[in-house]
Amino acid sequence: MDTVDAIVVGSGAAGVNAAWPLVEAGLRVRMLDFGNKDRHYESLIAHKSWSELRRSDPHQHRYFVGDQLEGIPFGDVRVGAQLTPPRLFISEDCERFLPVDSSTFAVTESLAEGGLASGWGAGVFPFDDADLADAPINRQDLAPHYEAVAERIGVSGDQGDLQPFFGECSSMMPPLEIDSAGEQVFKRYQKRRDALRAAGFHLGKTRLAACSELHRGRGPHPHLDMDFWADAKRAVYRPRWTLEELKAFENFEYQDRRLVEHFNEVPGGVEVCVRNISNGQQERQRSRSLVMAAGALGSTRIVLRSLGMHDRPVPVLCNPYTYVPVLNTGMWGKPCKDRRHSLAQLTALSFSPGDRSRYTQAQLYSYRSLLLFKLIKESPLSRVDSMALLRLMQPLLGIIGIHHGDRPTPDKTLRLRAGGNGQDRLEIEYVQSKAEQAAQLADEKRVLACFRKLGCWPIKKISPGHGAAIHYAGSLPMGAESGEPGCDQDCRLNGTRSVYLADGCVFPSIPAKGLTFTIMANADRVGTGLARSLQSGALRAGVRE
Amino acid sequence: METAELTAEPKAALDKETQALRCEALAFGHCLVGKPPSELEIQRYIAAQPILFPDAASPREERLLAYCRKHPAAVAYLDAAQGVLGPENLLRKKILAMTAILETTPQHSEHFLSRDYSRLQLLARLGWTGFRAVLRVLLGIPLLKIVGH
Repeated sequence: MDTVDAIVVGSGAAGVNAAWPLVEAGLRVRMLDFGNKDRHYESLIAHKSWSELRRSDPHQHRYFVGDQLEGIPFGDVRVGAQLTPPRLFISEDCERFLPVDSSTFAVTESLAEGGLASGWGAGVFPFDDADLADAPINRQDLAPHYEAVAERIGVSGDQGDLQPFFGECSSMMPPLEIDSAGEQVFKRYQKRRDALRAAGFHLGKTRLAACSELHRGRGPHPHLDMDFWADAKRAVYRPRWTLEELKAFENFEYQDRRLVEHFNEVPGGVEVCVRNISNGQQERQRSRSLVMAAGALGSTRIVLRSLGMHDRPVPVLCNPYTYVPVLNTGMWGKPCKDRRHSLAQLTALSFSPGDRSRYTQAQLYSYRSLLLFKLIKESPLSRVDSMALLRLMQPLLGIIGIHHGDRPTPDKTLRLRAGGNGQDRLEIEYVQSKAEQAAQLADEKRVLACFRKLGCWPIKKISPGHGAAIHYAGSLPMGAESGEPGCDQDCRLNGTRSVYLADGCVFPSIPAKGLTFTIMANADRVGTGLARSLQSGALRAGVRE
Repeated sequence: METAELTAEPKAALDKETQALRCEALAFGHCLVGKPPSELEIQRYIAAQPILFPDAASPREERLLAYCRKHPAAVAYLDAAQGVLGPENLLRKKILAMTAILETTPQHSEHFLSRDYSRLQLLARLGWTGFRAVLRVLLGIPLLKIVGH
């Protein structure tokens, strides 16, 4: 097989956005991907609103419950409960090919075309300098890449109270319409705005990677309330939209059914050892450079294996996450608009009064399209009474998802262990200190007190366990000392000439803001820098510009 | 509702287990939406069993299910009591499976979709539903003690 300029491993949020500047620069890029797809449910879902489908589609049980009834949850509250049957392809085959051992950390990985971002909540939360304080890059380094990615993926939002924390976005479209429950909360916020802001609580319409207008052939968002089930009008961003655009370039090649096992640096570049899943054969592919974008855990697995670093502990991070069902009293006796989207309606940032660098991010969702039976399961009343009660209460029901920041400690580690059958396994140990737990409880208490003032009364707090946010990071951090597993500020893997990291593994710490948009911007930065190096010939000579 | 009504379908051709599942589907469906489920919904309930409940029921669980099959009117009471005394129970899981089947059927969608009510109407309905729920728990607990032993 011929040598290409760059091999990109993975087609998720990081992979496609790292590949884009390389392809745009005219370089020959090959993307290696396992590439699972939903071949089952997508075609069953008609372009109709959720309520219309509920009233008219005799086949709705196939996608709402699943042909194997995989949508009926009988276990404890699951990680990734929003992964509905049409989204379950995202984590398919991972237990078999990406084994993980952990009793303290729940892992969701992906071997899907488009990766974990195929089920992304689409929140766009750019980091500021304070968020990047532990990284050797700052907001200014990322600013042009935030702009480039925002234009590529399509971002909607408004210039509300969150603007100072998220910054400008020149290509931003108007916000999606918020639903009746969101409107009630937002109205109450505007009445109490000064007092809440003084208490460190800032609320606004969620900035979303969703097109409210026609943009690059996608959208406008049809407000069908089907965002957890389908990608209507392709309005909400999924990495496969960028992959489709990449496939139109002659200098881009996509190879699916490939599982990258390890790499070696060779004169003139990198040799990548790949298992072809279709025929079980091993392949060796050569490239001038390699970009790892297999997800933080996936890339770390391949890197540690390639560098022979079995049993070596590296950090692991994930935003601690709590979700809180609430009763929105503002909706008491109020009519509900049917036209709505299912993503986060409102986002709040709540700052600690004593320490402005510490904050939590909370997102308010309305509960409707995930169906009543999932709530009925959680109720201690009889099913028939729960059904009647929840049906009455449904317009008032909301979910507040609270994310906290995360920093490395010696008790949050990941190791690659050699397996007895030749297949190695990730082992994750994740234990929070008492101080971290206490700080989170205090932060949650504070943010929920503010939401109470907006009429959102918590019913109970649910902690789905560590790892539940599916925002993994920090395992091969930027700025790690040479000789340590990590990378430099250009995300070049320590000890290598031409291997780059483009996903969440490079962030030394993560703020409460969701990471995905920043992963994309950083991937674009990595791809842009690598394209320059490859074009100038600097990389071929083994030196940096 | 009498048991005879619930088992009026052609039963000669059905084996004993399928017949029992059919009775369950009818009992649970009637409890949830106030009328017997359609043949299609019953078939979906029966097809769901080996996927969702591959393990054999314990003798106590089997006694409860048998009682529900024989006395469909008791389903809501036993379910209510079980919800308080031991929510992770086969009976409740089976009723939840039927709930999911009915919720995703257009004919029953109105039982699950919310409606706009005035503040007063909503308060009255919530009050009545809450009262009924508590009553079912209170009546269901002694019944569960009797049937479960």
